[in-house]
Amino acid sequence: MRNIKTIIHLSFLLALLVSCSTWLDVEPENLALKGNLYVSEEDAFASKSGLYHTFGEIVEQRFVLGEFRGNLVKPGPGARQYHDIMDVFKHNIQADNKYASWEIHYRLINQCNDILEHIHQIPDHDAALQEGYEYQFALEAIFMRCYTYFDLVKNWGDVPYITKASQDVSQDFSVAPMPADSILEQLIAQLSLTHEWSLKYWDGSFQYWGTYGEDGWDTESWQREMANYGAVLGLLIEINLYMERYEEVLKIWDIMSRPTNQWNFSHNLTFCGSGDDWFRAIYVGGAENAGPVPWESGNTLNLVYKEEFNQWNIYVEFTSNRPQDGGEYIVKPSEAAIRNWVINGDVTRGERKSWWTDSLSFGRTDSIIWKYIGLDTLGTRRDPYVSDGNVIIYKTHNYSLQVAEAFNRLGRANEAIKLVNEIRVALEIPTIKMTANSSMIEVEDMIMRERAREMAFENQVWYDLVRVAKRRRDPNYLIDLIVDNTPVESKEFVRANLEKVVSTWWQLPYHVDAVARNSKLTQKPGF
Amino acid sequence: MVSYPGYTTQEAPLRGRSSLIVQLIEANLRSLNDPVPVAYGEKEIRDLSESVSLINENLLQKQTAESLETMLQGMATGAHVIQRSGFPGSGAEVYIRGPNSINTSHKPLYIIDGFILKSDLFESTLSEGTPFNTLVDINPEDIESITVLKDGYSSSTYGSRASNGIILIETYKGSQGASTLDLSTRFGLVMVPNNLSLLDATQFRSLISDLGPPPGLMPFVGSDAYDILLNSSPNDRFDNNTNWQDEIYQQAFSQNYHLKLKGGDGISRYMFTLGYTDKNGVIDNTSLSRLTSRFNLDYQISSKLTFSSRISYTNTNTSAHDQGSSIYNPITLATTKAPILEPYDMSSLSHPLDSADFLGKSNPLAVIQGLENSNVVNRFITTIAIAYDLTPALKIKSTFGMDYFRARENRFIPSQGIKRYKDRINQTSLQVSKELMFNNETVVQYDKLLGYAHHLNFVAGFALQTNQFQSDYGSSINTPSDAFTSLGSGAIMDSISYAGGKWNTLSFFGNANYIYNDKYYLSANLRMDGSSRFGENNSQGYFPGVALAWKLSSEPFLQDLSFMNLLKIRASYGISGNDDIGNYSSLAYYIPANYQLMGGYRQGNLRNPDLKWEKTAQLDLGLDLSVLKQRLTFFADYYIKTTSDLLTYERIPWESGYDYRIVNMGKIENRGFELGLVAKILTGDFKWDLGVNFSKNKNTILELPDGDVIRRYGVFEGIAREGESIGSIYGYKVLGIYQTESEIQLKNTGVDPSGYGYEAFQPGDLIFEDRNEDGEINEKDKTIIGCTTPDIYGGFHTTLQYKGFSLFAMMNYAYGYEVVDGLRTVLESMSNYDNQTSRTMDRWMQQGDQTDVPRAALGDPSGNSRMSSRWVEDGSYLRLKTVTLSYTLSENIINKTFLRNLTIFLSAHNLMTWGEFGGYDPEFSTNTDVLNAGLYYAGMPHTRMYTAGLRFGL
Repeated sequence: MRNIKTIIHLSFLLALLVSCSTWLDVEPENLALKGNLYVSEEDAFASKSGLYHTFGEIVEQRFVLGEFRGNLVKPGPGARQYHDIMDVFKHNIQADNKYASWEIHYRLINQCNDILEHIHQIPDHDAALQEGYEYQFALEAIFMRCYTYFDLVKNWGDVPYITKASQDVSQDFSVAPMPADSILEQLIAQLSLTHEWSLKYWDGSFQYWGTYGEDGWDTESWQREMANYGAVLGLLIEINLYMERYEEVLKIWDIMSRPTNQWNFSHNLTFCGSGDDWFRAIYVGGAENAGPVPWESGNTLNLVYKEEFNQWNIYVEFTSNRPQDGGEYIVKPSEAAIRNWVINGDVTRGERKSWWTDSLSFGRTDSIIWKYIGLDTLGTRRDPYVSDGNVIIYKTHNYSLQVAEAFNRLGRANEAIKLVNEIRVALEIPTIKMTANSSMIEVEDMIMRERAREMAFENQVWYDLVRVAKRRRDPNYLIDLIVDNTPVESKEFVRANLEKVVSTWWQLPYHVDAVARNSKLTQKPGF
Repeated sequence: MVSYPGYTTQEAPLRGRSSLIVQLIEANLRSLNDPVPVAYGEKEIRDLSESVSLINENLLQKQTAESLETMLQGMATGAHVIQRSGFPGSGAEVYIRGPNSINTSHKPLYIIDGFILKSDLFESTLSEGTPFNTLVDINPEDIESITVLKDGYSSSTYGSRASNGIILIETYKGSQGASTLDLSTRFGLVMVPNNLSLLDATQFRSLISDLGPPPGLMPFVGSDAYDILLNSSPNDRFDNNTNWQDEIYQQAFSQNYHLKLKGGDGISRYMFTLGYTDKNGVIDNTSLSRLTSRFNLDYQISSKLTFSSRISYTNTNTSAHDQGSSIYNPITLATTKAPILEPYDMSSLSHPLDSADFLGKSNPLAVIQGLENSNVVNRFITTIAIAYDLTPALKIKSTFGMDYFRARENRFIPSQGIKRYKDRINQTSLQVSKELMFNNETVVQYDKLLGYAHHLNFVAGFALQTNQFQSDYGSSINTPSDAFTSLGSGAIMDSISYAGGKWNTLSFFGNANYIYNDKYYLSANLRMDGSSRFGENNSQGYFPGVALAWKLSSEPFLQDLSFMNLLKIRASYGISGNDDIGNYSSLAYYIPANYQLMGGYRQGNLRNPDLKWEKTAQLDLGLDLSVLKQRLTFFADYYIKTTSDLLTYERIPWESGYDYRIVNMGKIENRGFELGLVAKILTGDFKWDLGVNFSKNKNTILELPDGDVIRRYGVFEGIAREGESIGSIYGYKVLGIYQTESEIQLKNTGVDPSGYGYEAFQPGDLIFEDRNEDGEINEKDKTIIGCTTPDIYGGFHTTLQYKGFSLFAMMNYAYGYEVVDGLRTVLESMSNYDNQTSRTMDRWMQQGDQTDVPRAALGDPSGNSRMSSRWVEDGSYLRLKTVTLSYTLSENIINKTFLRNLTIFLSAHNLMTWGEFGGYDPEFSTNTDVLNAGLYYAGMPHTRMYTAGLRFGL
């Protein structure tokens, strides 16, 4: 009996002795506490993957804002049910339109900030992370942050500029917007820093900069699905062109196209091939089994989208007219876009590549955007939900045509025309018969038409139109093209909407929730 | 102690009195001396200073519920119980004294035989709208009593988990004496609900004609398809008049068996039960099959040392179908499916199930026959306790408990007759969920009578608890055929995921009760709860409570009133909490964010070291009155319950990288009163008992610093807004129907008159109230158009008894609230080629039509179907829930048999319902979200059930 009594007393005391602090400190499952990460090489890789995951969340908005506002597409029958999308088509984007929200942009920026704050601490914990990789990851985070800020500036103008990661709930998160020009200067400085790193760590001879050869990964294909140094230079070209710093554009192009500079391109800077090679180089499906051909001829930065085990392309939902595939047929090519290929006899990038009408195969009675549906490796229609789904961010032709714009603006039309024709030769289509005697505007119009054929549905057209209109100080350049592409009954409405926001070069309003949440953000006039 | 055959044994302490009169109450009737389980002990009803509702054995036995919480309905003041649906074992939402919270659970704390049951972490199942009901694992026939503790003092005794009220469940225990065996069995016939009145084929075609052909290309509908909808030639396969509701509903059967063996002696007492329940639903492939067992043992090891155990094991198998907005909801499919179609393809020789139709709608019959949602739950709930009497007055007791729950769910979506989603031919998925909870509670109890006048009772103790849950999910698609339904047979792995978590608590508590002279009662409590869920700056919370009572009937100046048996006034105040704030909400953590085939992560939460429980302070004032030899007993309570520090997902600048931060802010008040009456109207050979309960609650959101919270489901919008009640419905107010163009011109002067994304109004469209008079109908014109929280609720029950015959009836009611029938928003939208209710025949068709049903218009161009008062209905109802007629053989007869007793009974459930609701049934719960309460969305309606059974003892 005494024993039992003793046991009870002891167990009672033992229980009392359980320390509150340890008992109540519970490590989460399936989550990682701050402090438990950024301590190994693997953490560095994983932090970077998370960045691309979030980047993937931005592409729908990128497509809607980049294409639906332009003149290369028009609403499909499925668009009617989406009021926000219809308002984008009608250029009636109010402050409560979901596409006027920058929520994901800043989520991505916060992630970039987090990586930049912690990536350099990893070697203290794990020497396996080589310094070169450490800076490569930092560069990718900088690129992603700059890319995102540039997207913010292009769409909203002045925006809050934040370079510190958020920590806890006690912070004041309201930040006033910074002037757009100041932000762009910051971006150029940041991206130039990455150039310095590149020289320091790879001396221009690091052939597979941006790859993870040690792990035996497919270096060429993987690197195309991550930001690389080529993408950094491409972004610098784009920002400088946006700021009308044409000399700077040419300087970067010089670095980029130097034969010895193989930093980061699959091999040399090459142009896509002709026919199906062009299509396969940029298309979005079947890459993993397609052999080396696509990867050797594109020089593109793609993002891969996956839904768990099924890779799929989000754009298919917008472009497909097969409801059984989930396509809601929200957007289709405009007559102007099709005409641009047809009149120019552009069979390489036109029908069955960028767009297609085929009433026999799939019951279509309408032309559709084909770029994101495409063919599989056997040349038959691929299934959009079981294949890779890449979204094109940058490709060589994008850079070279932007450089052509700079050449032309610097009065070097011959070199601009030469760049355009280099592409066309590679595509095996007739070259442009235009001489330096043509006016700067005529050459520029030619370049923009070429961009429309090459970059159609890749989310560039709206920004191309804005850039040229701003450059010419001629809002009607954009307004006329857009209104031409609008059904008769809506022309007046769309023109009025576009004219209303000419003063800001068609910047978006701050989203109503963004204004409500940030006490230092004031809505733009007129919204 | 005074006992007498046929009467309840009563223990009456003298407490300073030299003599007293003890009134014995007939057994089976509720008496003031009935023991009532309360926190860490029990009290007699007459000695309570808490606010308590008790449902005793006698009342429980008259019900035939599958899940224990449904037995509270209409029986306990302050408890508003809403049965979720007619699916067998679907359970109920329980609100004690109104909803306290917007973002955390409203569930009460369930405690069985002193052991806190695990929380309902795994509510969601693979079938939409049919959440797990973890209370169905407890067989109601094992339960001896259910007590609802409602006041602040009681809640404070369980601290940070008890602000939604406490439900104490006591199972049967062994008893001293000869062993007894009680068996019961019952068989039920489950009846189909009344069908909704829908259009027949001719009326349907008339509506299609009115809607017109689709403009241009429309998904699924080509011009041929429209011709089929509009016309048919006799004998072709689209010339049918199918009543799809008749096709999916069936009569069903239920059976229930229960065995109870109990006995014991001076050393040990045991109770063993075995139960089996099998109930089918009125839709094929819906069922509950449950095997329960329980072994309760109390063993006196020595004069001072006692061992006791409560061990239960349950195996529960359920099959369900989707409810809510799922495209596989058989009720939505059956009510919207075109009546011109038929379930079987009669053009084929073998008459197989017809495929999904040309409108993209699955065959409802294929869904109910082929789509599987089954889950198997195995659950152990075990407690082992050792108690030792240190002195006659001082006891120590340590209890170790475990609640182990494991669920395995399978879902298979076949291809036959089912609409494909994306490239999925068929799909199979599996989810295995596990939850394990351990606790240890050690208490020291001191109970002493000091002299004649002072009765002291102290309880002090500590409790440790650890909870862990894990859930693994996988799905694959495109199995070789519908015959292959297992996860491994899919050609393509579709998805895998994992959810898991752990949390620990540590509590210290002390409780003191003092009674002076049987007149004055004082109870005080203090509990300290620590939880791993709380932020590091608030890792412990303190929850005090105090309760006072004055038994006036013990005062000399009232003792002469012989008719008065009890007059007592009570007051209590206490603070409790709701710790359902997420396991890791206070921590900064990263979440998985993978890219391609590589693992990735990103920030998931902002750190909040100050995060804590939601705090509820409650004041309760009560009165207990019993007169005329306890033939009339009356209970009344008035309460004010204020919950502050609401868990809030505060919207913060997106520039932070986050959408919200989790903080404590906001305040809600529930204020109301409760009345309960127990009357023994007639006694003697002919007995008549009556129980009445009435609860009135007023909920008000006092502070909501972060502004409105709106949560949508389908077109339904529920809003939480400062100054309003939780459960408010948000939308447009309808004023009538436009008859003429000029009427439209007059009211709609804005740029975008019909609102965001809609086309201009036309005659026949609804007139929405332009609240800000800007000539446009848009978000700014939305307002609160109803409230889904009832003003009053309660029930009545009565028993008429003559010799061996007994007739029991129970009614429950809820009054003064609005609901929205989400199915009606589909069935009266007249915006597509779905079948509609016959009410749509009253639609506006031409100028002068006096109706409240707008025009039919394909695609709903002007938004007549948007959330508006058009969809709001009065949800009040009164239901005759249970009627039971039983006959118990008299002792004279039974003594001549080998039986100890025998009762046969006939029972009917949901016999009659009165109310204005136009849908299947006014009682429903689409999901557990308090802001979606009051929304019906095609859940399985409650069924009428007739039961026959018998109970006998050996």
